[in-house]
Amino acid sequence: MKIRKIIAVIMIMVMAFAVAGCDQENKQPTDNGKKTVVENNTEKPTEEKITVKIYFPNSDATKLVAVDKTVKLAGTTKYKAAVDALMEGTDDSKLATVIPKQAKLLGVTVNGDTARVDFDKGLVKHFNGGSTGEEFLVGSIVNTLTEFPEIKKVQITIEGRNVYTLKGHMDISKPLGRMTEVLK
Amino acid sequence: MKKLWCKLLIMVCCVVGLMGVSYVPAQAAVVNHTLNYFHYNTYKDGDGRNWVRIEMGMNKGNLEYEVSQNPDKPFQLVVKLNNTNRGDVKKNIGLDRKIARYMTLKNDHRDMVATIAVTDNLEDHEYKVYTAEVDKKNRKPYRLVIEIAADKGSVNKAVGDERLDGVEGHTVVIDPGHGGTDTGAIGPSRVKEKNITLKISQDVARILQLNGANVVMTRDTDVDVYGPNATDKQELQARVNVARRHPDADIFVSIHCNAFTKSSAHGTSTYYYGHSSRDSMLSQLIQNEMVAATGLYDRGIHSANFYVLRNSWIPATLVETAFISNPYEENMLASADVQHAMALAICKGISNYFRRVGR
Repeated sequence: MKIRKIIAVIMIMVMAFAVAGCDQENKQPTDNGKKTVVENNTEKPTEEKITVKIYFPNSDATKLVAVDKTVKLAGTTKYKAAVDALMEGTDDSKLATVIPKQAKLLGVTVNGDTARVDFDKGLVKHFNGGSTGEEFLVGSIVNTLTEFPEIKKVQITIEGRNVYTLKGHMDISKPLGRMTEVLK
Repeated sequence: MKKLWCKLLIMVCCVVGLMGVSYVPAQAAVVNHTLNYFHYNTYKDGDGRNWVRIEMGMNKGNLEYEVSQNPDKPFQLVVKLNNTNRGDVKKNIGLDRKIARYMTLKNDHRDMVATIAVTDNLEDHEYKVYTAEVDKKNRKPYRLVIEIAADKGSVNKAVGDERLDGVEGHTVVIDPGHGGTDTGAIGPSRVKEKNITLKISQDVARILQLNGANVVMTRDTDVDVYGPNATDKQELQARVNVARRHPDADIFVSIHCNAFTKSSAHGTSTYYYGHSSRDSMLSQLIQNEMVAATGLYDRGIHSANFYVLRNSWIPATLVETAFISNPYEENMLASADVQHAMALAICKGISNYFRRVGR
């Protein structure tokens, strides 16, 4: 009986840790499983809405323009919600949607001050390229995420792997800091 | 009688033997050339340079000859004509005296050696030696022709608006963007970036070469530089490596067509990484000429973290000629006239760069 109780306690602990591990925002996982669960409940209410600043290029691709968008945090992190909003695109005729509609976002993870944004191969396959196209596609993702003060760098990956370029121009093999040159 | 027979047999054997002996070398010496014509004249070429042309005619074709210079006698050009006899042509012949002073012909065993005394060190003359076929109209036999110019001249063979200063002797690496399995961007009328960049690059190479520059192309056909379906790192590094394999390379110029998701984006821009001020200088000078030549919207020069630029050890630039995703500019890019105007503009930018930085 004692052994069963010990196993049950261990299992509860393991589950609590697993939940804590899923939570991207939780930077200080604690040994106290109960506390983590409470935190999760407060950080991820099903209908909480936040306003994020996302970036779209203007239609002539001379600069990125910030757009405020209110997004639901339904079962997701604010980082993923922001990139999701970016991928939804814009109806504003003065702005351009740069991420191909066929691309899928596989996840956004944060480690320290660096966000890793993982896409499927559709991002590369359905993207036409061009130096300007690449600059603004990468710039819109990097600048949207670095809008969060705790994010300083962004690494774009394809199906979990670091890549050198999207279409042969910009080197994205290493995390990129905020791209101020496309904000002017 | 027996003795007579023996003597006859010996004689026949000797004759046959002698014939055999004499026959073999005759076959080895394919043709024995004998001079039967000599003529020289002076003329001006298209660049206004003076030349002397020496023609030595002979009875047969297929002459073998060797051209040599004696380092101890820098004022002499020596041409050896194999299996040739001087015939009736004089031993010593006076020439124009301004470029070449005289020529001596000397039989040397089976061959004949023509020595031409020139007025300056041979290093300062340009010369060519070639054979010419029978010219019935001008009643000239098969000839060996020796032409010597008054000076070295410029290697600059370009004419008209393609004539550029400052590029002679420099080595330029030209990188036609994309290629092979990588089409680059595709325009609304299905024009492929890889084909346009190759056409413009080949024209840039031609113009630079005419002006005496050495050109190294990362690709000269529709191929992947590394190989089909390579990773982007392998492919881009292969282009960078082309420049690294040429230690004398002065600059790296990558030629591309731009693209954007909206067709409204338009204009010309040039990118650099900024290892040194030369990168931006080269970019700006090309950008200026591009905008002047095409009249397209000037998007300016931009520093960018582009792989081929960042990894280049020499000043490097990436020219985004125009937007292939914009229907009007796609149409322009597909036009041979516009391609040529762009190529010439890039060359002028390169010329201005070398004029500014010097050797």
